[in-house]
Amino acid sequence: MRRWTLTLMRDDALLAAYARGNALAFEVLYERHKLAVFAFVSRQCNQRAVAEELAHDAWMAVISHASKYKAEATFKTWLFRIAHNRLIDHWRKYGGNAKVLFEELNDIHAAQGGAVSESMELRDILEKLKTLSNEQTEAVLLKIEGFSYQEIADITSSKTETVKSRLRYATEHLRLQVECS
Amino acid sequence: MTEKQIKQLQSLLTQSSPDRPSEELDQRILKASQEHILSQDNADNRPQPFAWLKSVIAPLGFIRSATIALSLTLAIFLGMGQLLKFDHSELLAMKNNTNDNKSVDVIVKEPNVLKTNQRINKPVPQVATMAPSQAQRDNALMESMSTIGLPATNELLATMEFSLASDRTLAQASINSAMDDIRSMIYLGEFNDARERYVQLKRVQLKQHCPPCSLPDSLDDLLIAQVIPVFNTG
Repeated sequence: MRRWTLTLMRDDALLAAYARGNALAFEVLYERHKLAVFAFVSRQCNQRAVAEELAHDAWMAVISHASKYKAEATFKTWLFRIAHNRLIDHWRKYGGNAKVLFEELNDIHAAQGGAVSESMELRDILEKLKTLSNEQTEAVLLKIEGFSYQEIADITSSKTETVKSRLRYATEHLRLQVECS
Repeated sequence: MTEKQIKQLQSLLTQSSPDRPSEELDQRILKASQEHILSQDNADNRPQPFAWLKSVIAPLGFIRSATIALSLTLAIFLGMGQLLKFDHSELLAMKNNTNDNKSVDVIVKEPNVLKTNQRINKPVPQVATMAPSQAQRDNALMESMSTIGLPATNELLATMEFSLASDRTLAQASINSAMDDIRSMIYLGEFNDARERYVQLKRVQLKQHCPPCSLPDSLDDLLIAQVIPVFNTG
């Protein structure tokens, strides 16, 4: 099968093709999602080497379990669930670092020029990000990545209400911060 | 988190150049994916018992073209006359019968009677099965797709039973999505992927909404079910 035809295929079809022995299908799948997965793990741990190791482990799990994938969830949800599980193992051993995301966004914001009011609001958001827990930061990252509440709940093995409350917490604290200032 | 805040963060992140995975990491992962396939191939190439039986049984479920069926029917009748308990008179009756597709006249060899009022049931022709090649199956799939197309979602839903209206709605969405995928895959020449997608629809997605699913087991059977009335002349 030619590469260009593979690029038209959906994720689950690519994974199924790989499970049947098509190595090129995995390459296309990897190219499609490698940046998102790497950004997800690297924004939650403060060492590049660790982020690469976590990303490597996640993709190894995809390779080993390709034939067992069931289409009950989208491939991307399944992939991020695997990456999440690797992150949890890492946090248990070495602790988390939710500040990495804040630092990245802070750098971008500092380099930006923009309307003062918008800049202040963003500033408030970023300040609040600094105080979020690992789980809350992860929920924010997954929401930014475009996952729904249900998908985030599937990825993090938690309930939808828990996900909503984690994200709501960030909003409420942000509002309090603004009111206090 | 409000939608506005999410969008603001998204906007910031899109301006960021996050760290990319290194080339070395990419190569390690891709190499591992290829090695995994090789190790799977080695495991599959071990001698398996009764593999020959599987290769014989698998194509037998695939009913095929009327041309092959008609040409082999006569050969079977001639070769299996004893088994079907035919004699020459009955074969003649079949040849001369033009009135009824389901029964034939019995020719009685009496001096004053040409034929009686007796009729016997016409035996059902034995459709000879011949294992089709992969290319023949794919061509048949493409041909069916081009001439008749995939069945409409409503037709498929009509064959299914749902206990809840919500199940029907979900099944409808699953079928619509699957048929779109299958249509694209067939036109792209990805016939096996199209067959896999159908299996995924029937065994995974529809199983959740309609456990006793009466859809055909394979995509080929689904398309054949649409064409059989044209060729099945009894």
